[in-house]
Amino acid sequence: MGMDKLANQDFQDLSIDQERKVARTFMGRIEWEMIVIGLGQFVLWVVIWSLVVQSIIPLWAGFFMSTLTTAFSYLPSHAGQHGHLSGKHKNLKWLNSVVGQISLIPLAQAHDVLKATHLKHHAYTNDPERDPDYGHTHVDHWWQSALNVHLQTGTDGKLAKMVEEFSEEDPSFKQAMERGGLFSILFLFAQMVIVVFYPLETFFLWWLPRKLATSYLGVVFSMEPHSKLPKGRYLDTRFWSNGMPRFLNHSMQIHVMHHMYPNICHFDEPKAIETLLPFMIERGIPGADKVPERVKLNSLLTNFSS
Amino acid sequence: MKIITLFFEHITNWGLVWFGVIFWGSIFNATSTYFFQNSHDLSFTLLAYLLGLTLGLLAKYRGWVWIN
Repeated sequence: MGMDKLANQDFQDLSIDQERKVARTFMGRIEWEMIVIGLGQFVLWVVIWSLVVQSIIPLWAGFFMSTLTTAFSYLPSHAGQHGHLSGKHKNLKWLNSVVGQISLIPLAQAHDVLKATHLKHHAYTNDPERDPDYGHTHVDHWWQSALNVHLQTGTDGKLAKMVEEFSEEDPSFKQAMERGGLFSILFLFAQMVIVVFYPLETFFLWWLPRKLATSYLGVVFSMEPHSKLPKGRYLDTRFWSNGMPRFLNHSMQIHVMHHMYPNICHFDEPKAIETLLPFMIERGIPGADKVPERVKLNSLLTNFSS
Repeated sequence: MKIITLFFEHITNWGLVWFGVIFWGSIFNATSTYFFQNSHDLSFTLLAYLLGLTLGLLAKYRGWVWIN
């Protein structure tokens, strides 16, 4: 168990400085896995469209396949939002936005918009007035999160007010929203053009899969890790399990590592947790005391109740 | 430049309505072929796009952004 590590001499210094020093050893690489997933799922999505339009596979099969691939479209953008796709290589920074945006095409979302709001989520996690994800995070049931994630973007909603306030006080946020707005309009038009020629295909291969994927993201990426937790660097995210293999939850069961150090790549989080666990336990991170010594591809399910 | 600004303003204000007419109208129209034998009549097509328009207007005035 993690507590054993506290006894290890290498981990006696549990200061913030030491924590940062250890965390830094996991930062800086190019997360090539996310580039492969981001471009790969998009190519698959196009192939599915092609197979359905040519009647090689039925529409219902295409719908299931598209829903599956679309569920993979957000995380590569998320990696790009945090600069993981270029790592420490400044000349490759373009990868973050290019791959991030291509990856989001099945979700019909703008990378710049998601980046701007996501970084505010990190800055104000669980703040009811400032966290853009708050509306679909702090709910009583998973289905409320699945629905709220679609309903929160109305022009009269709380999220719109937050965006307005962030735009007034943060010029770079405003610019990002404007840049992203162009892509949003582009997606609006793209769907309106394609639907004229392929109405049911557009509905079952694009609109419905992205709605389902967005609900999945709301529940697994936002609600489960943050629901009903307070503000605070070491208190706003939890370790959790819903009994499914970690891979099927996009490893969001260990999302707490991401909130502690967003610069650590997604695929390096298990190793980082194993090393930083004594610090996490010391800081009182929810669920840290139940994390096994090895964070494997299983779901941590033996140590958690969902 | 002014035309572009006007265009973006129009899309910002009426994008959901256009989306209702074109996107949902096309889907309603395509779906009607599975339910009605004479769905290729002009009246069916008009009805489908009218339903789309109604949905778009409802979306605009009730804030149903989920239709997009």
